[in-house]
Amino acid sequence: MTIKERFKDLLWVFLHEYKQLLSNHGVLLIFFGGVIGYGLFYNYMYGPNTLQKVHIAVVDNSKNELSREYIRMLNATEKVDVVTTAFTFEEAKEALERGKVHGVVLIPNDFETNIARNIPSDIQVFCSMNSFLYYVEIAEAATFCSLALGTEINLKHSTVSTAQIAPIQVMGMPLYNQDDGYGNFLIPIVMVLVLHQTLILGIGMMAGTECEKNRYHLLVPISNKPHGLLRIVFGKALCYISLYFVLCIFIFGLVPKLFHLPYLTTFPDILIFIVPFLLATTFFGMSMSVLFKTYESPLLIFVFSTIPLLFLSGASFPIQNMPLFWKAMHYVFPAPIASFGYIRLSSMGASINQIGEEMTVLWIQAIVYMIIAIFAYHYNIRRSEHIEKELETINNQN
Amino acid sequence: MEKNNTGMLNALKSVFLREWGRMTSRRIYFGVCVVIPMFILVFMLTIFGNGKIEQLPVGAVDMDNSSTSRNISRNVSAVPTINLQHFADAATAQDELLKGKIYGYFVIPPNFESDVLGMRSPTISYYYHFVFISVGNILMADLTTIFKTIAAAPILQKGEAMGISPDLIMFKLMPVQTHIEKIGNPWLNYELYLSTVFVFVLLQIQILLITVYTIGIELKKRTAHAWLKAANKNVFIAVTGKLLPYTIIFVAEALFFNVVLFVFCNNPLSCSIWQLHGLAVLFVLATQAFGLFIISLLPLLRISISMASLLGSLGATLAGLTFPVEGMPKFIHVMSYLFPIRQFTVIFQTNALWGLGFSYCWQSYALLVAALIPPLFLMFQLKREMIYYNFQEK
Repeated sequence: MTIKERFKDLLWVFLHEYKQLLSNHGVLLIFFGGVIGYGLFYNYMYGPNTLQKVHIAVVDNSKNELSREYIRMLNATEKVDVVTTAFTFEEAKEALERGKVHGVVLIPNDFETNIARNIPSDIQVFCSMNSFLYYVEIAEAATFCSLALGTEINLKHSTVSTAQIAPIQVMGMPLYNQDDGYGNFLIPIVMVLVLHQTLILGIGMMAGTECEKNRYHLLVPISNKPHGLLRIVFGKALCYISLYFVLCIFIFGLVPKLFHLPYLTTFPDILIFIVPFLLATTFFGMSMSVLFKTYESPLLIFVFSTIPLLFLSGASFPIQNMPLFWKAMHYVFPAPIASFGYIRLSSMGASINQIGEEMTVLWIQAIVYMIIAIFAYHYNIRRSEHIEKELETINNQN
Repeated sequence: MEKNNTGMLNALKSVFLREWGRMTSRRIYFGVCVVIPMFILVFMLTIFGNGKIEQLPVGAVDMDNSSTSRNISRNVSAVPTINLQHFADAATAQDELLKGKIYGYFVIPPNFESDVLGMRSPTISYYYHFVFISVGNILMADLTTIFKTIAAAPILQKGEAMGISPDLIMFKLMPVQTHIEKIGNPWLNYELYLSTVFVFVLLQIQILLITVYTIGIELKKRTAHAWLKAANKNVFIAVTGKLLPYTIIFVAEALFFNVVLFVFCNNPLSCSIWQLHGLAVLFVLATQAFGLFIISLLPLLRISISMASLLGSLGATLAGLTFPVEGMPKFIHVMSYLFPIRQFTVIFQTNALWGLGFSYCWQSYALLVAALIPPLFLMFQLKREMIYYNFQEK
């Protein structure tokens, strides 16, 4: 076959795959509905971004100017909302247990007297741990107000605060995601995961549909125009890659702008990131797809993996603290490594060089999974040829 | 009357055995119902290591290299959550930060020691970020604490030398102190916080999928007549008999999860394990009812199984474990009431972490029981589909 003929053949596989795809409504639903739907829906769900106005109760056993000032300060922070200055600690505890408030601040009755006697005064805070965010917001608000009140007290007693005469000054600064937004943290990771999962599921479902349609439940239909192994693999891959490239532009380019997500990167860098991610994911999906004999099996087997892959990314729980086996798995699948890199790209303004390790891993994955996909399809074609021969023998015998 | 009962029991038995035969004839049932849940348990139990976030890489840029600055680095390094790495300058540290190798860094300026001695009040700057929220918050708290202590040390020393009592100095430094008590999880243990609920989040995905699948595949392959026949044409018996093997398997697994989590792994439990077992049974039933509702509403496997995937995955968010549902838009908050996994989470936290009784979460129990009712209304639609195959593709 000439080069031109081979190329035409590749094109045939490519177009054939597109035709199959566009007539498979279930897969279209996953691809477009999943990506666009989840893309928009997740941004809607985490729209509020930060947890604000957490309900707390304050038990003021001191009831003087100072404690009222503290309560005023608490209310002034956006983080907490003092729902009640309950009469007793028992009532506040009950409200906490009933879930009406998520924290209780207890100001002791000797609060002001201690301050007057130059003894540090303690404020006790009880936090619900039902969500770590409750603890984070309440603890931050209480600590911040304690410090602020402390500064005020010092200024009242003398015109010079200790800070001004301190031999060592310290200054802490949050660098990225300064408002501690949960949406800012989670959405970039979820976006990468949604693309990864829908692509793999879709490829698997396409393979499953093809198997179901074919009498002998084989991936590559026999008795068709003979196509070379590489042409089949690359023709199909090109179909998925080309379609998903558009979806990637939507997720990585348009969605951040629409929802005002942190976007400290440049469009060329995003494109450079997308290429190995798409290649690795597509070939991984194609390698897995040979296992699926029915349309539904990818869903039954893969859907649950979204959450483990999210944990494996190392964004919520650091990779350093994971056991060695899971640390290794972080590098095996495209999603964890890609999301770990992408979040630095978009939320921290890292350059492509600075996510170099992730890019290298993704390229290696792309090549490895490409090889595996080729072998998997090779095995499938051989099996179909073997079965065709057997059928011929049986036919001839009859 | 007695004949009817025996007839019903026999029909139930025959549907049960028919389903058992179907389940054991294909590997995928074993994969979905047994292999994956066991994998889920192993994953959630091991992913968080010892459950604590510690030894986070933090950069130290010491541009002074004096005994004072080295002492400061040593003090920071002693914090258990910090694993100090030294860098020559701030630019390198910043680069490492962007590469994801360190999660924060601090800079001790040049001439630090001489500035301190010369009362010129040099500044140590420390940086962290919230891009990784849990790490960011832990680092912020720990870095703030250690640097406050470091800044206070010379003041304390000087004060003591001047004969001022350390209590008075502590008072001047921090007149108001906050003591935070973390109820239910004082150790900030991730396994106790996340794994205990997420194993069930993942289990409910499998329950939803297989419930939708096992009914939908009969419709798709048009074997529903045989199914209905085995049930003596009673759709309630048909559905109960079909789902019962899965109820048994998933309840057994849920109980196993509880025993492993709270007996073998010694996670603290503030209530009786039998309460958790009861919750697990109710949860499995409610999730199966949810799945039954989906397939009965849309008796087309293709669509229903995609819906089940979507809704099951949403369970991770709507459980409200990470980001509270009260903080989400109102519509989402209301939607969470319809999800069994949300009610499960509320009951679990109330009973197991807080040690509170039934009266504190009876509404959630009621919602779980109520979840069993909606599919009952769709049984006749399902029966029609089992007979006429109206929705199926030709």
